[in-house]
Amino acid sequence: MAGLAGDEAAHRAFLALVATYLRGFFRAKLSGGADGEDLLQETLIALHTKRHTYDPSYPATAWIYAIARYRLIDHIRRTRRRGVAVAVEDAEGELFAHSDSEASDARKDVAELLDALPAKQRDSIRLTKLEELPVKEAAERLGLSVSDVKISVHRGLKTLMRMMGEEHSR
Amino acid sequence: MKTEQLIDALARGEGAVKPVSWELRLLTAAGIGLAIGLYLMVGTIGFRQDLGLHVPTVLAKAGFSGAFAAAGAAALMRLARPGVSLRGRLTWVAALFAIALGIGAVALIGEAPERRMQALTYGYFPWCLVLIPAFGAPVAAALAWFARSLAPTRLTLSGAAIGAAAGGFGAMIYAMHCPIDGVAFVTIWYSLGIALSAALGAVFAARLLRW
Repeated sequence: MAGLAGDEAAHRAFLALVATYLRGFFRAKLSGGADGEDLLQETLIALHTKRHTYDPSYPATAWIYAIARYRLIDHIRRTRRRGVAVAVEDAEGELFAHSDSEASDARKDVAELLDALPAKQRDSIRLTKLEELPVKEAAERLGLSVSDVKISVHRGLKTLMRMMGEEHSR
Repeated sequence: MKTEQLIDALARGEGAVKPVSWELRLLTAAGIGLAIGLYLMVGTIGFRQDLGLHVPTVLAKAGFSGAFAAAGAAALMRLARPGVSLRGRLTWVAALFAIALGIGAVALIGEAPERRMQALTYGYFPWCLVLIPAFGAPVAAALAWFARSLAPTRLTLSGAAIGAAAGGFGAMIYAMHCPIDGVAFVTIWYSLGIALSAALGAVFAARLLRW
């Protein structure tokens, strides 16, 4: 709730808490593997970029699981469409991914995917999210307006989410 | 990237979510689609020529169609938000179809047997089956845009709701052209046209609404 109102710490705590629940959820549904962590990250981005769709008069868990289930179904659809050949190629990677130390490491790097974004979106995300600059300062540095930066970050995150999904099914 | 880092990055520097009136946005989208559809109709087949003489009848036909539009939009409003229960909104849509077809059947039975075929078809191919979804298409596009700005998790149902609402709007538009006012004709073909629109919505939903 406080996260929606703009309380950064609360939003972070919310995402972290949700992540622990969802990790178990995806692990159970996918019977382990690195896919679960990818899917978890995808879902977290979805929860974040779609947080305006939460209706406070309904239970938050229903909202969270509806989105998680949607991402799961979307994932299954995508992987099924690509056929079984993919699974064989992935088998090697998965052997390594099963080790415990890598459990929280997704197979693909969000940071790498960032490079594929349009410059405006990439730089906006870099400055505000990775270099922790206030939006205002980032805007000054990029020579953009504050709302332009905010929109770029938002759009960039959405694209990132989509790219994670596509990467996934390859 | 580790999940913890992702969470940090997501949370960092995010402001409050601005409250948006989704109902207003839905109405705006539908209104824009309706205006475009109306423009298409006027530019192609045009108003019925005796429109001025039949205002109450046309209003009744448009109101009948508008009920589908409203029921479909109400269902979409709920379907577009994750974890919000439907509370029987789809039952409303189904009930409308049942009532419409029921009225149509009763009206047909009321006709003399040799006039029934005439009352049902008026000797034409029922073009409304094609034209209702066609004039509803702009509304469907606008509502799909609306739905995408939210987060529909049940795509097929959402698509059907969009299709039903768009079909309802399309039928409202078509009602201003269609010169046939027979009760059986209107209730049966209009609702079938709307149903076809809903089916099209369901078919294309997975492609158009995926996010």
